[in-house]
Amino acid sequence: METRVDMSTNNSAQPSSLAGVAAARVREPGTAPLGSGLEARGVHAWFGSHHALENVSLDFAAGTVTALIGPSGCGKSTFIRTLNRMHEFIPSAAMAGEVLLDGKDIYAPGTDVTRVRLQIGMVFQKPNPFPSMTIGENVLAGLKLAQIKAEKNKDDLLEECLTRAGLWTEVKDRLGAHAGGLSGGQQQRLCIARSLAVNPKVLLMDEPCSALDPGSTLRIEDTISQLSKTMTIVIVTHNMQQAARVSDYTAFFLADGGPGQMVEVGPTNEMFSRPKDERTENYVSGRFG
Amino acid sequence: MTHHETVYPKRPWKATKSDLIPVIGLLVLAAVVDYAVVAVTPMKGKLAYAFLFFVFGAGFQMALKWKQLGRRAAVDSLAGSVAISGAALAFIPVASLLITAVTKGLKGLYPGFFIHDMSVANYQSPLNQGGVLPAIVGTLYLIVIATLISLPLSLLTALYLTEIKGKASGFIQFLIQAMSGIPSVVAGVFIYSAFLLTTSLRGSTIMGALALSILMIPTVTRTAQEVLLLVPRDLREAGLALGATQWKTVATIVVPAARNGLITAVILGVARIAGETAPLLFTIGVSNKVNLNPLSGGQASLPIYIWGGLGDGSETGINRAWSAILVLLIIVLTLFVIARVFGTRKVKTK
Repeated sequence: METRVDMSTNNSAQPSSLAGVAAARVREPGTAPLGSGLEARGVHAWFGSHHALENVSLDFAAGTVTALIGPSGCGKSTFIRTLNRMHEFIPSAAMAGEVLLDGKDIYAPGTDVTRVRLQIGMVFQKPNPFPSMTIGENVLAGLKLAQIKAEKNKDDLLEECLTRAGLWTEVKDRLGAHAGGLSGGQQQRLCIARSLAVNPKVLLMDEPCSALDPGSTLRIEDTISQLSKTMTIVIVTHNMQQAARVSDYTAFFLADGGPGQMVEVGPTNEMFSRPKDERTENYVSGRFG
Repeated sequence: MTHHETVYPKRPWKATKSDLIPVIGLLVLAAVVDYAVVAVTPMKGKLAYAFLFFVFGAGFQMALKWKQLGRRAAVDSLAGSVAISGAALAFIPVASLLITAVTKGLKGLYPGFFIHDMSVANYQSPLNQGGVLPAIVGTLYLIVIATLISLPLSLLTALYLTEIKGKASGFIQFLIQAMSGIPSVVAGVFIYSAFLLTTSLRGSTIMGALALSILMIPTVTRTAQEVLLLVPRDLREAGLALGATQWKTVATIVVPAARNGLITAVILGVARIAGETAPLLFTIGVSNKVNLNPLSGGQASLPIYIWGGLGDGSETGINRAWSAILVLLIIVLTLFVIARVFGTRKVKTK
C-alpha cells in the first residue's frame, strides 16, 4: 500500500519545526491534464452589511495544494465558499470580484451554477454522508444527483474512488451497509470518495480533519497528497502542522478589526521559515491566534 | 494595494432585468397562446384557461432553460413550475372561500351583530336585529377551556413518548394514532353517553369542551412529539452533563428549544376544533343569551349558529350564517396572530 509508505517517510524524518516539515515534503509533479486551475480576483464577501472579506486575489495553479490558515473569523471559510458558489446560499450574502475556472468567470451571467459545483467539489467540516444510503450508494450519489453517466463500469468507479480516498480496504466487504455505522474518520473519507466520483477539477476542503483523531487525520492527509496529482486542492485548516505537511502554497488570512484580508501567500516552506509579514511570523510561530 | 475605489456588494446569482425579459416575454406569449387555443378548441371556461396557461407557461420556460443551459436545467425548471402550479392550485380554493365569506358575510354584518343576543330575535328576523354575542362568548369559552384541558395532557403525553420513552410508549402511540381517526360526531356522542345520558347533568360549556378535547389531544400530541424529536440530542446531553436532572433538562432546555414548534402544535389543535359543530350538538345545550358560567346552563357557539342559520333555510338565516362564518374566521385568525406575536421569542441580533 502506497499510502503506508508515505506515512512512514513522514514519521521517520522527524522534522523538528514546521519549516522542516514543509521542506521535508517531497512532491512529484502532477501528471494528469489538469486545466489551468482556479483564480480568485479581487474577491469581496458580505453578510448583510457586514464586510467579511476584502479584496482577495489568489491563484490556485492546477495540481497544487493550497492551505488557507488564519485565526477563527478571518474569512477563510467564507472565501472557500465563494470559490464554488456556496456563499450565495446564505440569504443576506453578497460578493464582488471574479473567480475564474480555466479562465472563465464562474459568476458570469448565464453560467450553469450546478455545473460549476460539479467541477469544483467540496468536503465539509463535519462528515455528512447521506443517511438513507449505503456506503456504495453514497460514493455513487453524485452521478445520480448530477444526472451524469459514469465513464466506466460503476463497480470499477466505486473501487477507484474508495481506494483514492484510502477507504477501500476497510469497507470493501460491507459496501451494502449503511454509512452511519462508520467511524468519524471513515465517514469523512467516504465523503471525499463521494466527491471524487464526479471527477471534479478542484476539491475544496473546509477544515476536513477538525473533528477527527490523529490517525484518521494522517490518512486523510495521505489521501490529499495522492489526490493532488490529479486535481487542484484548496484546504482550510487550523492545524499548522497539517498545512506544512500537505500544502505546496500557504495563504495567511487575518481580520484585524475590519474585514478579513489575505496578509500573505507563498510557497509553504517559505511561509513557515521566512515569512515576509511580521503578522504571519507571529501566527505561524504561535505567538497569537 | 489598489482598493482606493469603493467596491460595492453584488449578487451575481440573482436574476438580472435582462434575464427576466425572456421569462416575462414567454409568460405573455403563453397567455396569448392560451387565449387562442381556448378560442378555437371546444375547451371552455376558467378551468381551461388556468390549466392551459400552466401547461404553456411551464413548457415555454422549460424550452428557454433547455436552450440556455441544457436538459438538466430544463427538468429543474419543470419541477419548479409544477411546484408553483401546485401552490397556486391550493391557493385558489382558499382565496375563493375567503372572498366568498367576506362578500356574503358583510351583508348581514352591522355593529349590533357583535353585541346583541338572540333572545328577542330569530333567524328570520330582519338583519338589523339580534346578533352573535352569545355565540362569540361560547366559542371563545369552548376554545380556551378545551385548550386548557388538552394542552397539558398532550404536552405531557408527548414528553412521555419522546423523553421518558417508557414501556407503555408503543401502546400510547397506537392509542393517539387511533384517536386521531375518531369522527368528530363520535366524540360528541361519547361525552353525551358518558356524562349526560346516565347522570342528571345537562349540556354545558364544559361538556362541549370535553368533547372538543378528544379531537384536540391527538393533533397537539402528535405535533408536539414531532417538534420535540427535532431538538438535537446534543442539547439534552449538554444539560445532563452539567449535572441537571432529567426534569430540569426537559423543562429548561428541551421545551424552550421547541417553543415555536409547540406553539404551532397548539395553533393546529385550535384550528382542528374551532369550527367543529358535530361534537357540540349533543353536549352544549342551547342558549340565546350570554352564559358566562361554563359549568352549567346551555351555551351558544358560532358553528352551531351557522349550522342553525343554514338549516333554517330562510334568506335572512343564510345571510346570518355567512356573517357568523366571517366572525369565526376573524376570531380564529386573531387567536393565531396573538399566539405568534406573544409566543415567538424575540432573538436579538446584535
